[in-house]
Parts: sequence; C-alpha cells; structure tokens
Amino acid sequence: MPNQDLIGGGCSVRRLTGRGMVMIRAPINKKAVAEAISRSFKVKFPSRGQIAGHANRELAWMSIDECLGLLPIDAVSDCVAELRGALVDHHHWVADVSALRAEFEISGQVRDILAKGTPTDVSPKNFTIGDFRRSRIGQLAAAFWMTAETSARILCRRSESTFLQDWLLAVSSSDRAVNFYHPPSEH
Amino acid sequence: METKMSTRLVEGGRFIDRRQTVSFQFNGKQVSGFAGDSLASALLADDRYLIGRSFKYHRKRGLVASGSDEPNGLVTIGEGNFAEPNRQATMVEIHEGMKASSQNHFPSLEWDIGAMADMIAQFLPAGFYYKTFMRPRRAWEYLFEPVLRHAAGLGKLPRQRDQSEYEHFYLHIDLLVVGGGIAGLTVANAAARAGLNVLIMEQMPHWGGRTPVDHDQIDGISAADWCTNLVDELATHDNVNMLNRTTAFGVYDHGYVLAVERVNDHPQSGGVLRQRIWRLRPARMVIATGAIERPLCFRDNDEPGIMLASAIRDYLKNFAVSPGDRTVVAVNNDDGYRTAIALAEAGLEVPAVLDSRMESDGDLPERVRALRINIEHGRALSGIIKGKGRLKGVKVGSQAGEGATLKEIDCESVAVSGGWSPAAHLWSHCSGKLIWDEALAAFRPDPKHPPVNGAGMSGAEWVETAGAAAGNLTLDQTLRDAKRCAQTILQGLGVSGRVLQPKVNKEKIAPPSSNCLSPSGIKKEARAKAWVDFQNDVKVSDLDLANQEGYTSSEHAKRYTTLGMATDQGKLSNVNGLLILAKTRGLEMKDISPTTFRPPYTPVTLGAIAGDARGPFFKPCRKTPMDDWHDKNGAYWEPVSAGWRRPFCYLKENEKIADAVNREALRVRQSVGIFDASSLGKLVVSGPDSGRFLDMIYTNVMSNLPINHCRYGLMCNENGFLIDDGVVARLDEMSFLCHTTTGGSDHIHAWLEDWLQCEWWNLKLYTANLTDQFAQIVVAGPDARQIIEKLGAADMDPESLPFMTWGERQIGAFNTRVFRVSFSGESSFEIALPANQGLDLWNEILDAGEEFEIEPYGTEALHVLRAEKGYMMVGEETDGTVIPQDLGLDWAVSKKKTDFLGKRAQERSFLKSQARWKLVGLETVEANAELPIGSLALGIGSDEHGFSKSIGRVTSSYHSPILNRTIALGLVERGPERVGEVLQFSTKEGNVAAKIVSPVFYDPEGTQLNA
Repeated sequence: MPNQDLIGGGCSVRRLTGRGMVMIRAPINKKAVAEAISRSFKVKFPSRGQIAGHANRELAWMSIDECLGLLPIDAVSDCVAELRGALVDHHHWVADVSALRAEFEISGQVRDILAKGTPTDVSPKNFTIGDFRRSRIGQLAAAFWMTAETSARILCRRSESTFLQDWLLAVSSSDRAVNFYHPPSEH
Repeated sequence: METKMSTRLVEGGRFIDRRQTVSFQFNGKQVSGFAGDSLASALLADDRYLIGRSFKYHRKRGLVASGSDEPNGLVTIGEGNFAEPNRQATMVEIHEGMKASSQNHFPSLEWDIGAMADMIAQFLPAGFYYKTFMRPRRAWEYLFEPVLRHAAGLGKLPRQRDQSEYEHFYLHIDLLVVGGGIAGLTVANAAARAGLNVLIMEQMPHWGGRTPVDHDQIDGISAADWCTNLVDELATHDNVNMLNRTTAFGVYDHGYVLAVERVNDHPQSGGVLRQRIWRLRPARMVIATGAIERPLCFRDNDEPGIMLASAIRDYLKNFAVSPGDRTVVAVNNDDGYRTAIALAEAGLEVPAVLDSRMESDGDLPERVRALRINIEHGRALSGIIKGKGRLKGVKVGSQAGEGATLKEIDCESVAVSGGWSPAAHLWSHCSGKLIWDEALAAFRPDPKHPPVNGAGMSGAEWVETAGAAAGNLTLDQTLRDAKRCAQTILQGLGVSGRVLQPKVNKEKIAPPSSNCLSPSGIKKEARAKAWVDFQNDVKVSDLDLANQEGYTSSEHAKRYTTLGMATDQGKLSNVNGLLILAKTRGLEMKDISPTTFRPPYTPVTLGAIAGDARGPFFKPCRKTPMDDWHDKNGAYWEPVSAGWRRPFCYLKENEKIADAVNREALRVRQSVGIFDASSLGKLVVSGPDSGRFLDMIYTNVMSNLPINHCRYGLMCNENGFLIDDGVVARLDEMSFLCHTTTGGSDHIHAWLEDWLQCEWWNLKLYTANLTDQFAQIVVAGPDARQIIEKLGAADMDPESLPFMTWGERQIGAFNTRVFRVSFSGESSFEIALPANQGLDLWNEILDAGEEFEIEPYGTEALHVLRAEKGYMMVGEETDGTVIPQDLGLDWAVSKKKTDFLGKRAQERSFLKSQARWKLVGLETVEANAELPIGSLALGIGSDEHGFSKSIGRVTSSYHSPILNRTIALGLVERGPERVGEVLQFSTKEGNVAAKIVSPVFYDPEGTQLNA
C-alpha cells in the first residue's frame, strides 16, 4: 500500500513509491567523472559515505565506483540519457533501476530503530544529515540516511520490502523502546 | 524446639522494602518475601536452605554464594511451556506469582532416588565413563548411553516455543565500563565529566558492588551514601548510559563486546521483550568486575549451611537474612573476618573464627578481637556434624595435621573464605594472560600480556582493568587504581578531566595463605568427600586421580575431571583446583598455567542470541511482484534458495498436490500455462571487456553471441564442477544479461565480482545484480503466442522472433523484453518488465488467456516438464561433484577456448574417465512404479566394505501426466553406452527395475519448442 503511515510505537513507517533511481557505475574517484555526473545530475557530488542534493534530487555515494541517483520517476529516462552522454569519454554503466529497490521513510526514534538492526555507528557524532550508509538492517542488505533528527530513509531490495516493513514495525513497538538516543516517546 | 537455621532479622536490609510483600511458589509451596528480595534471599529468609541436588552424586546442596558465582542454586523459573531451567536463584528477583522449582531430583528434593549415586561414589570417580561400559560393545548404544543420558544434565527444557521476545542493539561508544562497583563508577564518572560517551553496566540490580557491605566510610560519609551520590551524579550526564541487570558476557576479536540486558526477565505468557543483547564496539573498555571469593576444601564442605563468608555478609546486610544464630567463620585470610564483625554487629553469635594461618595482625582481626570473638589460629575444619537433616556443628582440627578432631563446635552455619580471585574472565576471553601473584594468593590480569585486540591498536591500549578485577583488594588500593585507570583512559582518548580521589582509611591487611586444603594433610578418605567444584561434583580425590593417571597439565586435568566446566566456568573452583594440582605435583603456582576462561561469563539464553530472528523474522522471505496474487490463488508455497518462496503448485478446492501438479503440467502441454520466473537471477555484465570476461566464466563461448540472441551457458568452479546454468542474452555491443538459477542470483554475482576484483581487475566492465528490478513472466504452451498477440504485441512469429532470440516488444501498455527460451519444451515466451508493473501484465495475460483456459503452474509442474525433455537442473542432477560432460553437455563446453574456469580441472584423469556416472533417462519396467530420488542402482558383487556395489543413482523422478508413466533421470556408470539395459534400483520398498533410455522422453525432435 503506497504512502501509508504504519504506526509502530516508537516510530511510523511509510513505504515511498514513485521515486526513480539511477545506478551509475564509473570511476567516480576521478575528478572529471564526478564533475560530469554532478553537472548532468544537477546536484553537488557527494563525498565518500555521503548523500548530496535536495528532497527531489539526490545523489548517494555507494562505493568507490558507484553512485545512486534518486529523482522523480518521470525524469529518469532523460536523466539516464544525459548521464550516458556526459560519461561518454569514461568507462561507465548507467541504468534505470527504479524498480530494483524499495524506499521507506521512518520517523520517530529512528536512531534507536536503526541501532536494533545495523552494526554501523548511528550515534549523532558519526551519523547525521548528509551521511549515507550501505550496511545491513537485521538480516537484510540496506542503505539509509537521515532526513531530520527524527526521520530517516531506508533502501532495501524490492523482494525483501515486506520483511523490512514488518521488522521495522515489530522492533519499534512501544514495549521495546530503548530510549537510548531519543527521549521516551509519547506513546 | 529446633532453632531455625536461617531467618529474617527484624531490622535492616538495604535492598528490601518491607512494606511490599511478594508471594511466590517454590516447589509448589507458597513462600513470601519482600520486594527487592532475590529468590535466594527470600528462600533463606524462609529457612529453605536446601535448594537442589548435585549434578552427579545427587547430594543435597544449599546456596553458597550471593551473586553470579553461585554454583548450586540452579532452579527452574516458570512452569510448563514457560519454564526456564538452570537459573541462578541468586540472580532471580522475586515477583508476585512467580513459580520456581528445584532440579535434578526424583521424586522430590528431600527424597531423591538419584542420591544412591552418592553411596556408590567410589565407583564413579572422575573419568569413570572412559573406563566402564566397554562390554558388551552393543550395550553402549542400547543400554548404557540411554541410562546415562537420562541421568545426566540439569533441568528440563520446555517443549513449546519460547513466547518471549528478544532483540539486539548495536552501539559504538567511547568507553564501556563493565562493573558498577566503586572502581567502575569512579572511572565512568571521570570519563563522563571529560565529555566522553560512556556506557556502564552492572550485572546486579544495584550499583556500588561490595563496598557498601564491606566498608564503612568514604570521604567521611557512609560508603553506601557515597556510592549513591556517585550514581546520582552519573545519571545527570547526558553522555552516560547506565545499564543494571546487564552482564557483559563475552569479549571478542576487533574490540567487540557482547552483553545481555535482562529487561523483563521472567518467562511470561508471551509478547514481552525479555532480554536485549548489546553488541558493542567501544573505543576503550574498562574491566571493573571485582573479585570472587573462594571456598575451602574440607570434608563434607558441600553441606547446606556452609557458605562463602562474603555471601553471608551480603544476605545479612542487603536482605536482613540471618544464616542462623551461631556461625563459625573459617578463613585463610583477613577479609573473612569482616563476616565475624558483621554478624556480631547484627547481634548474632560467632562461636569462633578459625584461621588456618599461625598469626594475623591485620586491622580486621584486631577489630574481631575487640568484639571479644574467639580467634583460633592454625586451626582447620576437619569435618562437620550433621543433625537431623541439617548442619549441627563443625569438627575442628589443626591446619598442619591430617584431620584428627580436636574439638567440636555447635553452629547452624559456617562462613568460609579461601581468599579472593580477581574476576578476570573478560580479560581472558580474547587471550589476555593471567599471572600468579603470591602476595595476593591469586591469579590477576597480567598487564604485559593483554587481550589481543586487532582493531588497529594493541589490547593494552584498548582494555584496562580497574579495582579488584586488577588485583586491588583493599578499598584504598581500589580507589587509587580506579584513578590511575581513569587517567590512562582519558589520556588515551585525548581528553582531560578531574578524577575523584576520595579519602578512605587505609586498612592494614596481613598476607593471605594460598592453602585451600583443610587441613593441609587431609587424608585420602576425606579427600573423596572434599568438594572443589560444587557444580560439576569434582572432589579433591578426582584431581588426585587425574594426576595419577598422567593428566597433569591443568588443561588435561580440567577435561578429565570436568573441573571448571559448564555454566559455572570455574568461578569458585578454578583456582582451588589449580592450587591442589600444584601442591600434588610439587610445583610453584607460578609454574602452573591457568585454564582459559571462555565466553559466556554467565549462561545466555538461545533466545537472546537469536534476537529478533525468530518466528516471522527467522529468515527473510523474498517475494516476487506477483507473490500476493499467488498467495490468494491457492499457492502451495515452497521455500527455495536465496531466500525466495515460490508456488510449488496452485491448489484448487479439495485438490491433492499430485493432482494439481499433473493438471498444471498437462495444461502447458495441451494449451497454455503462465509461470512466475521473477526469482531467476538477472546479472548484467557491461563494458568493453565483458565478452572476454564471460568467456572465462562460462564453459562455452559468449563473446561471439550476436546482439538480440540468447545462448544457454554453463558455469563451473575451478575444480571443474558445474555450479550454475542459465540463458545469456546479448543486450548490446558491450552488455550481456546473464540469467542464473534462482539460488544463484546472489552467490553467482559474488562469484563474478570475486574474479573481477581479485584476479582480472584489469578488465574493463561492470557487473550489476538486477534480479529485483524485473518481473519475469513465462507464457508457455501451444496457445502461448496467440495470447501475447492478442495483447497487441507485434512481430512475435517464429521468423521475427525465432527460438533463442530476444527482442524489445510493446505488449499492451508495457515496454518489455521478450525472450524466446524454453524450459518446458513448449513454445514459450519469457517476458521481462520493471517489477512494479509485473502484476498488471500478469493479470492482463490471465484475462487474455481465459478463452485458452490459461492456468498458472508452479515449480513442480516446471520440473515435470523439464524432466520430460531431459533438461538437467542444477541442484537436482548436480551435487557439487558433477561436471557438464557427465550430463551430456559436452556441446556446451568449448574445446577451442584456451582457458575458462574449470578447464584445467576437467583435464584431470578422474574427470576425463569414461567410467563416470553419466546422465540417462530411466523408465521403470512397471509404468507407474515409484522410483524415489536417491535410489541407488545395484551393480554386481560387493565392495570392500561388504556392501552391494552401486553403479548409479536417481537424480530426478516424476510422474509424467502426458506419458502417463514414471519418468526419471539418473547418473549411471557408462550410462549412455548401456541404453536398453534394465537395472535394479534399491528402494525402501524393495528393488525397482528400470530401463536405461534417452533422457529426452518427450518430443525429441523439438517440434513443439521451435513452433
């Protein structure tokens, strides 16, 4: 069910649909490549472990030779063509992967919720707005980033999205609150 | 009237709230205690000193300790399906309605038939099971082992699923402090003031550790108040988190620490979060876990009523429990004198302090003398006097002697202290070494040999010990050491801050004795009744026997006797055992290497380890875009590899599985079926070198595949064995789409990346796993094309889109790729489109196919169809030892290519052998005979073990509805040469005869396929 808030005690979970995604494989550590992508995508190129851009158009650093563009679904095919053009002088591979992953927005005690699943450091010292992590949540491969102090977005494989949704709701139930990074919620 | 042994005093008790009575059951009897009581304190307050039966000899056992070192007080909490065995009564907090019961006895705790083992104890020494039950040989399996298995083990497991919930929490933190005593609190406080992020944990419900019980004043106020102030201050820091009821139970490589928090720790009827495991990556760790007191080894030292001196103080001061009116205190050190002082101050009688040393001039003995308590030096306990079911007194001998009784003293309880051992378990978990400190009479962490860390720094930088855990056993030393530790930590993390240096009285403490045997010359008979390890029922005589039989090293003696094993991990017994071994062998303690402490420090439930990975979250279930449709349309689910679930078949009302499979397979052959192939792996390989790369990965040539064409390919590992297969489609000049098996989607992608990144890193190409991006729908059968065309797809005829090609096609509103491949042997269209549109197209095809009676088919019908065509299946015909040539796939193994993965291995004589088992079809002589998968083909004669020779096996076996007979595929020695031969296959139901035939049972010319 698209864009419906599901309440799980310490947080609410919303499955986002309608965002397009573009996989960009290229030697992004080369300045010229990063600049070409940035110009074409019209967003500042993210540094390692970061996500750059604004709500509608974001560029996430995935690995030393991969980044992910997030943008409105209608803009994807133009974007893919533009990127291919911009990278024509470089070894690259660009593809529309809008259906590959599912995107969730969680809000509430998000650091606590993430800490129940991911071995990465989600403390405010090491994980703030702009940081982007590719890790796992529980048994699932996942990427996540903060959009505000009490909200975060998560990407997982499409085929595992119901599992992640159910898991997020289960671990955020109010009788499981850790209240570690957040004050007790009002539930 | 007989006096009670233990009872509740009318005043005192730091932890109990007398206004709140709590009722619970022990062995079915109603008992009441106060809020704040542990199960142990509540039972003692109710004069229930007998708490269990021992593991091996079923001797009556009472509580010995007051904390997580308790070896005897293992109880079951809860009942029926919500019972948890082997909980330490000392660590269980009572709650209203709790049900607790003792273990290891039949029919009752008081009368236990197993206690007969104690009468024949002389026949059951350490290692008896290595020497007995040898003959007759078969009796081990049918008689001895079942009886022993029944007798062994503690507690009973509930039969039903644990209803509680568990979870994990990951945390990266500046400083982890393990232990909430004064050392830990001091370090945490300093770090907190310096602005570090601190997590401090304490296994007990209360902070402060032993200090409030053992010491009077710190900084001019009561030690208890001083601790409270410190805890209150810590709680005000935002950068500090305090977890009580939390045990750090293991330290692992790379600075990884695990701890379990008892959130709501009693089994309940369900849905409650019971425990949480903290998975910690602290930048620094402080072990401030205190020390553990040791008992003394004398005859009948396991009698209920004999407790550690520190435990008696704890019960007295924390819970206002008197151990009995008269308590004899037996020590080999000064610290035990504290118990005499505590008892006297509570108005209880201490008939004597028996000190094994010849003198004691410390401050504590002086205080005892001032209380006019009788101190006897050079004295030892030589035995006990048993009353009617309870301790009546002790026998006193001289420590230097062999056990002659000089006098008897009446008493209700005995407090023993054999010295203190730093709780160095966590230090040892990751290879930190211990050294013997003669002045302490204990092993303590050796700062020169710290744990191995591996997280970019030495263990010496990463971990520090503080206080008693480091071997600082006086208040003054502990606080000074805590200050040193805090300063080291702050310095190491590059911060500065003030560290508390409270004023305390310096106690003069005389050196302890390291002799735990009482008396020193304890004789053979008494050694056989003097316990070293209460939990594992190991006696002094068992250690003697180990030594006598040559198990002289501490590690060997541990395994031979079971000393220091099981849930207890030698908390009380380890050092005493080593002291006795050293003495027997005439060695110095510095020459004895202690055995290794292993995680967990205290037992951890399997539920906590599993965390939330239970029930619906046991394993992620991957779902295709059409999953929901399948579920609503009768899917009989099959869990398949890589986490996917797929419909085995679709059941109609009252339909049997076999009937559904037959119906679905026939429908594909006779009209049309629709199949969800979305779980097939879809890996894109793209770049100028992608052809070269795939020529190495696949056994056949891929680089010359024309654009818009498909080719079936095989992948082998370096050993030549087949690991995956699938259709490769050339997308453009630079790009290939490689289909893998469902199970291969992840690991074949990893396989490609492994070769690309580690071996052929100079090749220019990218791989991407796009499995989830696409829904893949197969429409197969004679009517398949008509349906697709009905939906408006153009150029679907065999000329425009021949078999083994693909093309981009608009089907209705959908942009798709249509692959003309077939795994059924029928005219088949495999349609790929973005996953989010998959269900819509699926529904449109079903609507369009209604007039053709289209039906979905599941994986089993798919298997029947492919077996009818003799198509092998990875995982059915292959098992990791099968090469393509075994399966008649020589045509797909290039002879021209100079190299590919597996080529060289396939040159080996064994793989080239003509005698290998090769793929054949098997037709049962009786048309519908069952020929189960795995059945072996019988050869002539027998092998070197006397078993019948086998010359083949059945790899796939189905009922073919179109042929109306059993068809099977199998691997048979020189199989293809033997077509026409009838072999006997061994099955559970007897031998089944089957004829070797071609593996292609149906449409060998492929007319259907190419249509």
